[in-house]
Amino acid sequence: MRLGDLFLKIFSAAVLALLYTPIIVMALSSFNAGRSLLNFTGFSLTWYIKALSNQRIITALLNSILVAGIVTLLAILMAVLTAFAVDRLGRRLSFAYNNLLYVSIIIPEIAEALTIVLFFIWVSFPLGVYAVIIGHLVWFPIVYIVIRARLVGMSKIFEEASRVLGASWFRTFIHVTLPLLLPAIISGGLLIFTWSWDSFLKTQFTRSPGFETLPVYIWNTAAGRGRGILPEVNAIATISIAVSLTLAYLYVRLRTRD
Amino acid sequence: MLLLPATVFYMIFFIIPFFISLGVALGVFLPSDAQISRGEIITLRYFEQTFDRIFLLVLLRSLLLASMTTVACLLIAYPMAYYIAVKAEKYKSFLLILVIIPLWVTFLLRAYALLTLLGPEGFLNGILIGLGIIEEPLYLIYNERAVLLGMVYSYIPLAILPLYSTLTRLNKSVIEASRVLGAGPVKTFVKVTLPITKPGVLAAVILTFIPAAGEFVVPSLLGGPDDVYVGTLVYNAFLAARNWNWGAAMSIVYISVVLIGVVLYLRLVGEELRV
Repeated sequence: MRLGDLFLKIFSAAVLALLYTPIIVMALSSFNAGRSLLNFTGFSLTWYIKALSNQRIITALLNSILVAGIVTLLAILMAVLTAFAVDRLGRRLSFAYNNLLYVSIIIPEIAEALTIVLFFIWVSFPLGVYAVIIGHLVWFPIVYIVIRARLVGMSKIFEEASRVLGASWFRTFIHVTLPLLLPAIISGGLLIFTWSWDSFLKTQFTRSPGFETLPVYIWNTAAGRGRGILPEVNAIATISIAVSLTLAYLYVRLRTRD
Repeated sequence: MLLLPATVFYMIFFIIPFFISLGVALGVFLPSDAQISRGEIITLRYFEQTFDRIFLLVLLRSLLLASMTTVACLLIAYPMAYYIAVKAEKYKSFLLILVIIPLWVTFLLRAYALLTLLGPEGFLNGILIGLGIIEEPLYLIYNERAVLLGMVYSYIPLAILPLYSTLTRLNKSVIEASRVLGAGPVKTFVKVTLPITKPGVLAAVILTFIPAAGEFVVPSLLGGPDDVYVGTLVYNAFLAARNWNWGAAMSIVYISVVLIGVVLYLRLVGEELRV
């Protein structure tokens, strides 16, 4: 038994090492002054400075922030409204409704990307930043799930007290319900922000030729056999991963406190 | 009333597009020039084009890759989830966080990171050459093995999570009872632990298999020119060949095959999926 436990321990540690090694190696090589880790010539921010003085990278970075920011705000709004409205449906109907919403989370991104772009082409909706935002917004159910779970688990007692004490529906919503929901709104928001920030296929399908987000830029410059590794791309990929990891950390902190 | 805006949005931009795609695959919407010149309003031509030998071969290869990925992920994820859920005790939540965090980094960047590690100019080759073990860089990527490695690497966290959530609810006294009554550790695992955690295994299989069957990014970054999968075909049909009808037909066939497979699988194991 003891031996088995030891094996499990070593095995788990090895898997975790496997999961993190590539990311750590990439991050380290982005701080290397030389072109590749083959010759580590010392710590330097050269590649970051090079990356951040590249107009194309800056534009892609700003586009990523813009899209993810707008998508997050709108998705939260839609998710909150829907989470409240579902309460009024009956049990069976809300169950069916939830299942319908979950489909967009489960379906593989490539199928989703193709269907929505064919729709845009069919209705002659111009591809570009608006199409990208709409495409990402279809993922609002991920926020909805988090908010809905909180709403279901929340005691109605505070809202009722507020109403009994004479506050209007609106005042109750702003001063009682919303603060109670805030942790769920923030964690749902962090989730959709990351999904949007990380989206490659959907963005690639729905963008216009001149419009790039960070993942699209990385794909366009680094993907493809034989193109090798560009240190600037390592730097910008490290920045992108750092953003995702920070959001992940905030999310986990928030959920464990909950 | 409150339900309306989001529902309408979801219908227009998610549900309706699926019907539009079906229409495109049948040539009803967005017909190709060749189809217009033949005067066909509706046609099965694109589905026929889809069901050629090469596509079927690619589909088979994708399902095979997805199956191998799923099996490998399960074999790795189960012991690890077991360790975290049952044995780790005070490090439990810390280890779980370490598993979840990579999921927040997109597949594209994780596959790219793997490229910087294993590529011809990558870190591993650098060390081996530096130590004088090899002279020429090893071609560790741009082949099928690298694709499988990349897939397993990308999907492990997805498999661990559902397994963890059933294992953590596992009642330890049941296992102890089995041991006390004389069953060995192997027998206890096969007869007691595994059946109880079946829902978690199911969820892990579905969570890895469905997306893995259509994976595009990992094979494209780590595979060679011949490592073509369904995801690659759909991507190229749309973005390179601009043959929308064909792309739509392929993606409908792929989704249907995967869904039918999942339904059959659930029937076979006789379980209802609970997420």
